[in-house]
Amino acid sequence: MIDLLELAREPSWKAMLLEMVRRGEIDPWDVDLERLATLFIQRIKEMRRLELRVPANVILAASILLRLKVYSLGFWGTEEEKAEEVFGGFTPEIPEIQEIDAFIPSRIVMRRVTLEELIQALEEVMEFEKRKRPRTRPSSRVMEIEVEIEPLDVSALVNEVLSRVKALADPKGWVLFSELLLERDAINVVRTLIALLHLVYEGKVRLLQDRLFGEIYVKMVRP
Amino acid sequence: MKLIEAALFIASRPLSIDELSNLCNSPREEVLKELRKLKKRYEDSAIEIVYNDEEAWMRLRDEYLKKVSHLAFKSQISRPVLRTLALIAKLQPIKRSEIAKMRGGRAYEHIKRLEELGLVKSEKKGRTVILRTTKRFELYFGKLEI
Repeated sequence: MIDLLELAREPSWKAMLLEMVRRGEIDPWDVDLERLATLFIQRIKEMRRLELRVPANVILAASILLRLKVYSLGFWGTEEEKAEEVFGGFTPEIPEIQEIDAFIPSRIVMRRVTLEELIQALEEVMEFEKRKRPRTRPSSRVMEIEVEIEPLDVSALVNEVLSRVKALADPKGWVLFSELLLERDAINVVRTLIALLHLVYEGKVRLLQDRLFGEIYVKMVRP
Repeated sequence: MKLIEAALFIASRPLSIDELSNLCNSPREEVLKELRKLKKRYEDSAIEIVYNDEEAWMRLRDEYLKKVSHLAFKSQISRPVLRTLALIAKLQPIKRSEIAKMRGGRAYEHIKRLEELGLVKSEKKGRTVILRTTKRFELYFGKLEI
């Protein structure tokens, strides 16, 4: 068998391939395209570096041989122009194909559907409709919810937290956020953090956190 | 009569009276007359001839079809398409979009297939499409109230 994989490496591989077919050195019917495809995949796997030119040429060469086979069967066009267009002026010889004795059915029957089956189908579809959950669409109505909010004096809160920072800070001015909390509940955490953010904005403290959700270090800024 | 019989036998689908008329090179009235005779001839048979003023069909009688249907290659109408047809028959005239809502997106393919089979016809009304069963549907299943 011709080594198409080697042939595809040559720059003028297409002309060489057609010339070999013309001279009768290759019979497209002797080329096992399935085996060729398997070898081709093996070769690609073995290749240490990706070289797309060769694989592409192999695919093209295989497709040319396949088209030669199709052409010779007469399934695809018989006009010489088509052959010229694809095989560059070379018209492959069409072998004589023996007629195959085949069973020709005198009637191809597809079973008709009975009224009973139609009614059964209707029952099935109606049953399915009944079982289908009603689709609930998100309501476009705006829901009104009343939420009681305790009035909060932000200035008083900021001053209170600042006085706590001053009281608890070490000689170098550092204090931990967790130490500033009066109680470890959500509302106290939020209020203390809000107050500290105000103090940062006012330039009275700096905040440091070395990991997400970790401890916050508060540093007093000396005037 | 033999040519009409042969045509109906080989087609195994409804053939239009015009088709038969062309085949036999006879006027429609003559074809309908022959069909009447043919129907009579098949009265005592597992096969029946059904026809209306548009089409004629040679087919197995229901009672025999049930017993031998497993021997045929496949059904003319697949189960999902049959369900869509059943809904159209029950709810006609019905909007195509309503059927699609009930049967899902594949309903459009089913309707196309049913139109190809000549069992359903669609009629455009403004921006909607209304579906109805056809005369062939009546020939296929008989006139029915479901």
